[in-house]
Formats: sequence, structure tokens, C-alpha cells
Amino acid sequence: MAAEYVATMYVLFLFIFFPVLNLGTCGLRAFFLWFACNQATMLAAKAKTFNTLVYVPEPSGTPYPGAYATARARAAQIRSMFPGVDWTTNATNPEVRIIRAVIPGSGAPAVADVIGPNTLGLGNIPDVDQYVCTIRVTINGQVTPLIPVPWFNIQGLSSPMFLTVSSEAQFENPPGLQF
Amino acid sequence: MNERRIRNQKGAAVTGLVIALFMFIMLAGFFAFDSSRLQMAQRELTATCDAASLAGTAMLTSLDIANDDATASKLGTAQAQACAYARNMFQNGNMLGRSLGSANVVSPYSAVSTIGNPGDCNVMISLADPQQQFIGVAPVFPDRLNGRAIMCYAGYTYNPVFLGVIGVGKVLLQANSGGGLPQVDAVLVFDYSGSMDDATNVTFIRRTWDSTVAASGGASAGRTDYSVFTSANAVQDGSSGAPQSTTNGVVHYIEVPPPGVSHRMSDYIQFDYVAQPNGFPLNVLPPQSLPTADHTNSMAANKYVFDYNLRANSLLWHPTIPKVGSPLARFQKDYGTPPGNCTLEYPFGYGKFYSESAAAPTFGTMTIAAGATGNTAYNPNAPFAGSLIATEHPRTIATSFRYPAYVNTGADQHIFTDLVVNIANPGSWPYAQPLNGPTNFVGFSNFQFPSQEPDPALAGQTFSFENIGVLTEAARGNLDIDGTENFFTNALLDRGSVYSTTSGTIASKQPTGMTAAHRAANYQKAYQRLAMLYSQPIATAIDGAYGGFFQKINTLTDCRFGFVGFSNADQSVANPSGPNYTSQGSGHNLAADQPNSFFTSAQYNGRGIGSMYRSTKFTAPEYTTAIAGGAGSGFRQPRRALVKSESQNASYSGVVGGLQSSTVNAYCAPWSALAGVANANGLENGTPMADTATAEALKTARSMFHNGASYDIATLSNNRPAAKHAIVFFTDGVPNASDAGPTLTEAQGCKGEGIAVFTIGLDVTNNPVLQGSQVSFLGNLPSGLAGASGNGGKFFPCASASTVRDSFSAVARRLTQGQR
Repeated sequence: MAAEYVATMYVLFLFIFFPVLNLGTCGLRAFFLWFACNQATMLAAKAKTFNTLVYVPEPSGTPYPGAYATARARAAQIRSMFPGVDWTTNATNPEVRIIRAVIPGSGAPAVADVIGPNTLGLGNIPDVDQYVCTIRVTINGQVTPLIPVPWFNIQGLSSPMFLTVSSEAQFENPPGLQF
Repeated sequence: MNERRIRNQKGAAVTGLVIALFMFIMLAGFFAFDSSRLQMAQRELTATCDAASLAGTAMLTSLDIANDDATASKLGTAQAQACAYARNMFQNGNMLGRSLGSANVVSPYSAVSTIGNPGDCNVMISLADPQQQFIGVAPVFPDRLNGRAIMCYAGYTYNPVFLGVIGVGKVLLQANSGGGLPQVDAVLVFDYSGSMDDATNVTFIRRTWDSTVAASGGASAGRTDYSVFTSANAVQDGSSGAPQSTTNGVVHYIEVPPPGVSHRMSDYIQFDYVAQPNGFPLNVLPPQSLPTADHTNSMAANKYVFDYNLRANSLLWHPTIPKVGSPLARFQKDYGTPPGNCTLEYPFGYGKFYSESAAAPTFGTMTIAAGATGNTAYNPNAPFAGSLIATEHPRTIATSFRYPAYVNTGADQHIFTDLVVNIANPGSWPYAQPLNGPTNFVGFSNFQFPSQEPDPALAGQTFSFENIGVLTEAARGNLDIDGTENFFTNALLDRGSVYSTTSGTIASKQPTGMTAAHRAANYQKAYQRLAMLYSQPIATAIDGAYGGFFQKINTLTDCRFGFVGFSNADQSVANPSGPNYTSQGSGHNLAADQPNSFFTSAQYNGRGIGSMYRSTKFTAPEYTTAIAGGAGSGFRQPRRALVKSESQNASYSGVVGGLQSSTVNAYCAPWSALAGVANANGLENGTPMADTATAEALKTARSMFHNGASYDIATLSNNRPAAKHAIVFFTDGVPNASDAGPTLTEAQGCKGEGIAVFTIGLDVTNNPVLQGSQVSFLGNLPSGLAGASGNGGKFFPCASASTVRDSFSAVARRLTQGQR
């Protein structure tokens, strides 16, 4: 029976407990990854500009660095809070995208998304009667299992799982998107 | 046995495995359940904080903080109410299906972090200073002045449902949120059209010479004006009647009654608002445009007629007459020219007091006759040494000449010379609008302006307005003491004067009691200040714009303001169609039905106002010739450009002017104090004029957002990118057809520039025609200004003056709501 238990425990831990633990860890960390993305979006949506630092009031009030920087900083902050959540940072990861969705019935033409750090540009003020302006943050990241297994490569089970998460929220100051 | 036991134990490991798996999965499920629930609770707590802080901040923008006292007690009350509102909003929230109604309101902040029993919630609502990284602000003066945001901090004790079994205890969830400090850059476009004072209670006065009354006081030696009167009812040629006695004749003020009970100016002349929804250009303060009383759309059976022949000095606006430094300068003052309050104008005047080098009516060089220089030229008490000019002394009375008659019937009853506001004691500072004067003027004495009165010439000073005689002379300026000029004597008021408050009942005339002792510095200014406060609906509208918009925005946001007063298009600049960021004067009264504006000195408050007397209705030179030496060319409309670089306080003070005594400086004051100062561009520096020239005004307002280094939304350096850009357009009318199209074009231009146009349409006449026109012109459809501008612009109709502040508050609320 002892032998049987040893075998059972072996099966239990090797094939069930650790894999489930790794998968569960990955799931939890995937949630943290999404959480970082979501929090980045929520904060970015409240920004006053898209990629310009302003102070309210000028010149030394509360700094508002813009949606692009705010989203990336917030995402990085949350990443630092949770080990095992990571992504390669570059200009478009996390990606902060301006989406102008046409309001049905407005008759406005569809327009292309703008991806940060680009802004809409001076003079390109979205008409809020025709478009719903939203910020979408997308992160191409990875979450690592609790116990890496070097012998074989199954994402989420034995090696980091690559994920793309995104979140979207309405931007509160649409004219600020031109800056 | 042993084998059996062994056999029986076969599969036990599988059972254990299954049990272990079951436990493992169950624990994982419990963990997942509690984690999800924890996350949900966190989100609900955050959302509740968001809702509470936003609601509190929104409430703060909704409460009245206008005309606050020195310790900002109104603001303190508003902040307390806003915090209470935020707390209520929080306690109306739910957490995990349970009400937060029993949430503990705690203080200080550390108490929020206290772990209590499962389900306990602690909340703290506080003021914060958005300018200082949202640090807390104590609700006491002066700290409260910086408390522009409502913060909500909350702590919730979460008790895991399952994980408690494995030793995971209570968890404290925390959240906080605060209403942000919005940036607002707004330009107010404010209507100073002639209709903005139509609802003022006024009295029409016929000021005339009464030769039946014995003079008194200073009426001593002097010659008889033998041009003159032989009866109380008519101006007669001296040759046809007996010369007057030197001891007879005083000024008589006769109330010209309205057709009904109401003394509202529009009721006086029974104006037809259906035919002309925009009202009429007759004004209670300069420019009064008194000849417009007999407006085409006046429905009075006998129209009220201003007789310019009975009003003094029209001729004396001639450009050859020096404005200062000459005895003739006194002509520019609005003395009543006795006798008979008649003009010197040929052929109705009495040319005994001067001679002309050229034949009349060419109006050549005018000089005082010899021997008269020591006295007022037209003073009948002065010795006469000039030569009579025959043509100026017609022996027959022109049929078109209106007499200063006392006749109680027919059209003559409606002849008037003065229009005065039924002022009253406005109470203590701050004056509470709406102030409506009494239906019938009630004299009052010893009114002392509050010490907070922004006009330093009036603050603390005492004035009396005992009857319509005093009121009229105060309005004319004849009770002023101004240097060496003696208006009182020149107007022959030293002979005594009488008044009648019921038209035609000469017997009821009573002495006015005016003596030289009545004179005081700034008497006219005092009248004008009180008249301004009692001018409706403009006084209430100004108060509404000030308290409902400017004060609120200034208190609760980081803001810059621009201001565009409008009425008539500015004709004095190179570009009459605008934009004009400053206004030296509007060339008004050019239209045939808007003749000149009587009763304002060319040197009104020290400022030449140029061609304000222009008119095409009357062809005499005094109406069509610009006043020489006038620095301006008409009444100014206050305008102040939006400037990014100036401080918020400077911007605010510049547009609110003297509405707030603490903001008075060289550039802002009530118009009564600084109307002549070029930089006086506050709300109170405008006065109703005539037209509703909206296109130039809106173009100017829009251009203030494209004004180079001052402000330019097309550049980052000259812009405030985080600011909400808005134009608030207030009017009590609609433009004429030619103006409507260009105005709409400007609003459409705002759409692509992110500028919202909020429109406020006031109708104090309950006129469905006007209301319909305003909905169309100002409304939310693409054909209306608000709708055309997009960007969240909205139209707010106002059915009464008292709701103007509510509408301005609604606009302010829309501009100030935000979240950090």
C-alpha cells in the first residue's frame, strides 16, 4: 500500500498538484496582467491630454502627464507589485490607442485609430456628437508559472504563458487628444 | 486474512487521491471565489467613492456662493452641504448586496484604516486642495478657500467566506476618490441691447418752465426774458404778451403718467412685443435714445413723445464749441435751459444770448455776447448786450413746435423731457437682485451707500432723493458740485422749483425743497449707480452671470475668462464686422428709427464719446456731426480678451469689475466709477444701447481662442490643452435676419475647434414669438447656436430674470464637473 501511496502521491503531485498549481498561478497572474491593463486604462481615461505633460494649475500644480504616459506608468506600477507578470516595454507595448467610434446615426465617416505616442494632432478635435472617444490599452505580456519546469515547454504549465490583454474606457477630455 | 486486508486496501490510494483532489479543487475554488468576491468588493467600494466625490463636487458647483462675505461663510456652508451630499451618496451605495447606510463617518484619515467587524465600513469626506496634490483642507477660513474638491476615503472590512477556514482573517479594503480641478477657459458674450432695461420701473417727466410760480431764493435782480411766456401753457413770443416779471418763473417737474397702473417702461409705451420681440432701444440710462419712445411698435393711443425742442443744449454739441477751458464749455452740461426748458436751436430758441457770425442756420462761430461772459450765456438773469437776430426771433410760433404745455388732454399730455428710474434704497451690501423699484416713485432721504460699495466716490456717501424734482435734477447732473461750475444756479434752480405727481393738476404742485444745500459731489453718479441696480432685467442678468457663473467657475476651477459685451456693431474700428477685442465705442443710432441719445455730456465722466449723437433721423448738424475733441466714437461695450499668461485673479477681476469690492482696481469698477477708463471692461461697464449685433460678438468671442500670443488653441504654447473651451452666449432677444446667418456660421466654426457654445435665452415678456425664435436661433438643433457648435453645447431658456442665475449655474456645473 505504501508503494501504492508513493505512486499515488507521485501522480498527485507531479501530474496534478504542481500542474494545477502552475496553471492556477498563471491564471492568477493573468488576472494581475489584466488588472494592470484595466487600471492603466481607467487612469488614462481621466487624463487631460494624450501625450503632453500639463500642470493644473500652471505652472506648479498637480502634474498630468497625459494618457499615454499615465497608462504605461500605472501598468508598470502594478507589474512591480506582482511577481511573475512581465512584458517587454517599448513604444507600443503597452499600446495606448485612441479609438473614435462612430455614433450610429450621426453620419460621420469612420476614422482610423491612432496609436500612441502619436496624438490626434493640433486642430484634430473629435466631435463628441459624432464620435465616442475611447482609450484602449493593450499589453502583450507574459505570466510565469510558480514552478518552472525546464524539461519540456508547455506555456502556462512549464514555461511562461504569453498573453494579450486589453481594456477600454471612454476618454473624459476629448479635445485633449490632440495634444 | 492479511491478504484480504491488503486486497481491501487496494484502491485506497485512489480514494485518497480523489479526496486530495477534491480538497485541492475545493480550496482552489474557495480561493477563486473569495478572490473574485474581494475584487468585486474593491471595485464596488471604488465606484461608490467615485460616485460620492463626483456628486459632492457637482453639488458644490450647484450651491450659491455669490457675494460671499469676508470670511467666505457662504463657501463654507456650500462645502459643508456638498460634503453632506457626498456622504449621503456614499451611504446610499451598496457593497456585496448590502446597503452602506450604516457606514461610519469617521475622522481623521487614520480611522478609515481601522479594521472592524465583518461588513463594517468607515468613510471620511473631506475637502482637498487640487492645486497642492489634493492635500486635505480644514473647513475653516481662510483654509477653506482652497478646498475646491471633495475627497472620499473609505475602508471596508471584508471577511472571506471560505478562506477564513484556513486562517485567512478579515481583510481591509480601501478606496479613495476626489473630484478634480477642471480647467475652464470661457468667454462670456453678454447682451447689452436696448431691451435689457425694458422691464425697469420708470417715470416720465416733463420738465418745464412755470412762469406762474413766484421765484424765491437766488432769483433776485435780473432782466426779464422778454421772449417768453404769457401763459403757463405755451411758449409765446415776447411781443405778443406781457413781459414776465423778473420774480416769476421756476422749473416745474410734471409726472407724465403711464396709461395703466404699471410703470414698467414697456408698459409705459405699451410696446408690441409680438410685432417686435427684440424690444425697443429706449433706455433708462445713457444713451437714453429718448426719441424712440414714440416707437413704431408702441401701441399707446397717444404715443409718448420726447420733444427735443424742450430739451436743452442740443445745438451746443456743435464741433466748434470748445469742450473745456471756455465759459462755453458749460453748455455741454445738460442744464435745463430756461425759460421753458427750451433749446437754443433755431428757430425755436432764444438767440439773445449769443450772436453768430454767419447767418442761421449755418451755425458758424458762436460767441457769447459781450457782457455775458461772467454768467451763463442763456441765463435770463444775465445782462443782455447782444443784438437780436431776426430769424432767430420768429414772431409767429412754428406749427411744429410743441409747447411745454400743461394740457391734460390729447397728445400733449404725453410730451416728456426726462425719463428717470424709480430708484429706492437697495439695502445693505451685497445688493440682492432682483431689485425692482416702486411702481410710483417714493422719495427717500439720507441713503448711505455701504462702505463696501466698489465705487470709491460713493462708498459711505449719503444722498437724498425726496421727490421727482430732485430725482430729475440728480439724473441731469445739476445737483453736482464740480469745480467752479455751478450747475444748480445755471439751471436756475436757485429760483426754487415745484413738482406735480399727477399730470395736469397744476394746483397740486409742491415745492421740491431743492436749495443750494442739496448739492453734493457725485450726485449724478449716485443716481446712475442706483438706477443701474434697479434696471431690469439687466441688473439681475449681471448678478446672475456674476454669481452663477464667474464666481462659481473662479472658486471651483483653474480658469481664464474673456468677455464680449455686445449691442450695436462696433463702427469705430477698421473692421466693423469683427473681431474686435477692444471697443472704443459703438457707432450706434445710425438707423433711421434710432435717433440720437439725449442726455449725456460729450465729456461724460471725462471721456469724449464722439459720434454718439449721430443720427439720420434728424438732419440738423448737431445730430449728424461728430463731436470735435471726443476721444471715442460712441458708447463702449466692455470687452476683455482671453489671455493665457495672466493670473486667474487678474482674469477674474477684469471681467467681474466692481461687482466685488475686493477686486476693484484701476481696470475694473462699476461703470459709474470708471466708465471713462479704457480698460474698464467688466460686466458692469456696459450699459444697454440698441441693437442685437450677434455675429460680430460671436466672431470676436471665437477669435479670442485664436488670438496669437494671448491665446491660441492651435498651438500648444499659447493654449491650455487640458482646459474646456467654452463660449457662453447670453441674450434676451434674437438678431435680425442679416445677423443670424453669420452668427450661425461662427457657431459651426466652433464645432471643429472643440469650443462648446452654451446659450442662455431670456424672455421677461412671456412672449411665445420670442421664445420660438430663441429656440430656433439659440437651440440644440444643428440650426441653433448650441447644436451647431457641438462639443456638448446646450441651450438654456429662461422664463424670468430670477432664473438667469440658475441657467448660468447650470452652465457652470457642466463645465466644472470632473474627476481626478
